[in-house]
Amino acid sequence: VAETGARGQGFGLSTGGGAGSGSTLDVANFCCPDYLVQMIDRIRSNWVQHPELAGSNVVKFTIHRDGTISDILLETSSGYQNLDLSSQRALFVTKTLNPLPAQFPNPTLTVHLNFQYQR
Amino acid sequence: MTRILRPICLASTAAAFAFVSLSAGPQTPTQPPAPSPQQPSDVITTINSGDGAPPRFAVPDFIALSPDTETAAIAKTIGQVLFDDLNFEREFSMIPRDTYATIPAAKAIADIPFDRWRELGADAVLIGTVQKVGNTVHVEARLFNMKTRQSVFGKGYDGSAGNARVYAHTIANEIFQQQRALKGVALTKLTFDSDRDGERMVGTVENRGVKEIYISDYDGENQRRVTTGRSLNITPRWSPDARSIAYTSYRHGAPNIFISNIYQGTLDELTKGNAENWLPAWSPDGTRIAFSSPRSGNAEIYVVNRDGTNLRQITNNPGIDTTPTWSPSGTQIAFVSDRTGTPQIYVVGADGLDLRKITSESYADRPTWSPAPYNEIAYTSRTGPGNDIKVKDLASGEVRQLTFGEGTNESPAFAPNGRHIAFMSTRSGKAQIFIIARDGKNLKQVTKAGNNYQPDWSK
Repeated sequence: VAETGARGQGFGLSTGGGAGSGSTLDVANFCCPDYLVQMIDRIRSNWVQHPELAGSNVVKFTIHRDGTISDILLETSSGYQNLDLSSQRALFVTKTLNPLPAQFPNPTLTVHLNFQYQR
Repeated sequence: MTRILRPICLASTAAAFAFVSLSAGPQTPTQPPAPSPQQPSDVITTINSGDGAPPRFAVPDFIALSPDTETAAIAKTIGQVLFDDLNFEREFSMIPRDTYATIPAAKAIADIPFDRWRELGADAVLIGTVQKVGNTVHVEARLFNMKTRQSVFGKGYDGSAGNARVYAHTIANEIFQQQRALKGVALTKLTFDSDRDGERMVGTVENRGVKEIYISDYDGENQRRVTTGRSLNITPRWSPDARSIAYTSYRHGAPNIFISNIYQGTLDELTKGNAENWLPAWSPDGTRIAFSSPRSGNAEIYVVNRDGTNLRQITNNPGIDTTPTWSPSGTQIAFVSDRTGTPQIYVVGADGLDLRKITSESYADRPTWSPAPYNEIAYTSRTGPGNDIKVKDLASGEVRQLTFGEGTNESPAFAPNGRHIAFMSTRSGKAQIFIIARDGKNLKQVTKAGNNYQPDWSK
């Protein structure tokens, strides 16, 4: 998995949390971080960024075992309609990711993807 | 919706840590634990706009929780080595350590001055502790996200007090895996041959210098001699499990291939007699060794099983065929042949079929096949009075040059993740081992004593 495009995506640093924060988990416990790297690579290629605006939103979606994406939902708004639409559109355009890895036993994986727009 | 929270937070330090034992020597590096069979249904992750600048990391000295000088020294060493390890792969932007002086050193993990680290521009800070427990030490390492002030990585290790560098290398590899899905090389080793001992062999080859096989950590530390033959021992190659080294030795007169099982202290003679056998290369599964021999009249490529059985001749040509290297799948062998006039790199199936020439240099030598997923062969190319390192992408046919005429540059060997290449260069005067990134940047000298040649990088 060397140089898979992981550089700069920083997925690991967004993790953490603790009881009471209500939404977080530690990616260290996730079997397959390279799957997340590939996922972000795919979504990034379909993401229209807005260099004129800074903000952050969270889009929740479900990945099925065959890689299809469903239940795309804006979970936390940035306060800018443009950015919120852009994040959701990146998922709708991506449509399908790689199938879930064999080491991941669950039928689906729900992702809370934090889109960070920087000027 | 099921959510499984696995917090690693300050209040639950001990419970959240995975404990890993480090054994007494570097020969048994600790592997990361297998993933838990129980997996979360939800993950949170981030995608950033812009050019994807790498996160800025700080790695201060670890905190010595015991008051003795040995613990303080271990804490300092781990911090420095970990910084260097994390810097090596260029996945993170490392904040120079001399800028940390303005930040008060924490006496415990609970004392971390998050605001001060944030002022320094850190996105993440790696904080660790070292505590003496009887004759052993307990090391803990945690990576904190400076924005959220939460831990994104936390592990504990118990082991010998003499293993400071191994703790750092282990932590670095685990952080590369967790943060970048990258197989780090911090626990890997180099081998090379060296004339540093300055001894001269006696006997049939007049004034030939003695060369011995050496190993070192990937960063050049812990250089140790493997052979003591006081003869010519050259072209060492790691076995895939990094527990044995095959090499060419003149210890009995004619060159033959020996295998040193370095952790068992035993020696196998793979080839014997006066036939002359050189340049061993392990198959990726470790079951076979390719080598070159003129036993049939002129030098050809042969393959033999690890136990010396089932010898097969792979090439059969009036030209001189030498320096085999295996493809990552073990189905092809690249080698050097002068069958068309000058030495060039060829590829042939491990069954001896499907030969093709892949270079058109004035002189090409010492091919080394990259690990997957790259499909490249690095080699030595004569570019002027000296040689340079070039890399050929076998899919695109593109050739890129990594060195440009500073001394002579020869004998490339890929790191096991394919991101760096070790090679010999005379750019600093004597022949020394250097490491360079696959893009030609990040050059680093790893040997200084004597002349050192023919590096190979453990898997």
